[in-house]
Amino acid sequence: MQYLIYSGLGVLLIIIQVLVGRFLSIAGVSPDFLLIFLVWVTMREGQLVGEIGGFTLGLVLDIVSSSILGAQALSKTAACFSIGYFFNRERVEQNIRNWPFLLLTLLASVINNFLYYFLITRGSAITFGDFAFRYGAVGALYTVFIAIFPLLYWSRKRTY
Amino acid sequence: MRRFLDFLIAFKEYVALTVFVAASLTMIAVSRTTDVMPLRAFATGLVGAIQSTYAWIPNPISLSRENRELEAKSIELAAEVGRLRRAEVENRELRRLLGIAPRPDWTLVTAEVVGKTTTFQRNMLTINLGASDSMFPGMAVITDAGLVGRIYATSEHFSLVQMLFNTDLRIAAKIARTRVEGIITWEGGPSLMMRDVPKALDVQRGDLVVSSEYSSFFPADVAIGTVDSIAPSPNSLTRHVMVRPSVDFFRVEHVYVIRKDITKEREHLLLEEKGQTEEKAQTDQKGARK
Repeated sequence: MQYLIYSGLGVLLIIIQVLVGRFLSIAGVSPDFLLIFLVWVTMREGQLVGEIGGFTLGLVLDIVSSSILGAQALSKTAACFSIGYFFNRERVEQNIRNWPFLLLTLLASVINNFLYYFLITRGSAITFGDFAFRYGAVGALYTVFIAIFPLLYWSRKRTY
Repeated sequence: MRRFLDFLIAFKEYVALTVFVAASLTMIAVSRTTDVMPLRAFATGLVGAIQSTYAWIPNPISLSRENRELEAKSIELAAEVGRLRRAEVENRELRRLLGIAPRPDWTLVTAEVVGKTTTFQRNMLTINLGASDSMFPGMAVITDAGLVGRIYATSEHFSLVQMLFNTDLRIAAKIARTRVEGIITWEGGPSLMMRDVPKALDVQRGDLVVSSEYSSFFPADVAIGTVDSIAPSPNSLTRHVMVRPSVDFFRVEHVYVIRKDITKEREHLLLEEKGQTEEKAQTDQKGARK
């Protein structure tokens, strides 16, 4: 049941990402809502669940956003696998409600964006370095900024 | 067998990673083939249907700005229509005198933009015309200002349009004033780029860039943009020309699809030529046997 809720939330975030993301876009850079959610899931459930979520939801995002099929699936799987190493069953709540959540979101965004831009610029005349810096690094910072809002919400929940 | 299962369970995270990476790489490899087109068509229909449900919501700020711009544009266009009518008569007469065949007319079909997907630098528009309105992948999409892109995938009632701001699109273009040819791509940012233009060729800031006759998808002489800046490449004989697009992609609400299927016509010509070559080869072979 819990995994069904995760799937439903993931699909909802993909719809928001595709339909509303452009309204939040600054100079062509949009935040990655789905990645924030996947970081949260990986920090709660561990590496394997994160990988499965990253692959399936990334694939759905690929289909819905008309991206290269498999590019988001691969980059999100790799991002969740990497941050899965920091999963600590004893400190789940503390990590989610504190700065480790932002730090891991930044790490996941950097891995996700650089891998994704490497895949989509592969075989083209586009310089990967320029593109990855402009959209990858800036996009990662924007995603971390958006991740502050759920973090504040969870922190307040703890206080009251 | 038991030990193998134990091994898989012990390293399940790595096994899952291997399986997912292999599956993703396989999908990336087949992503551009026609096998995935039904899936793309399904996704286009689904996203189009969702986007069309809220496409009617007006944006008062942009509407008022658009009204002012349209009024100014209609005055400007009325004057231009007069000039163009005179030019058309002259052009037709000159073509007749020189014996040049008239240019083919385009059939324009108006479409409404029901959604924009600007996710991860593969910017797309969704329009409310699909396969049931005789829309096919590859058809050019324009506005009164210039080239918007081309149809990438269609479902029954919607089509997905690849905008010029899309890393996958490459367009054969030329500088209208000097006929300098090049390939237009987008590498992020607000401008398009015409790469590796020889330094010796005449390109100036403000020059109009239009689609070239060599384009397989787009009709020739459709405005793409104007030269914004010219970036010299150090230690090279070429330079990069930055082009500011004529169309404001983020505000476009109505577009025209050029129904004329240039690709099919060209394919037909090539097939005809291939047929003639094969026929000639067969005749030559028969002649040699004799």
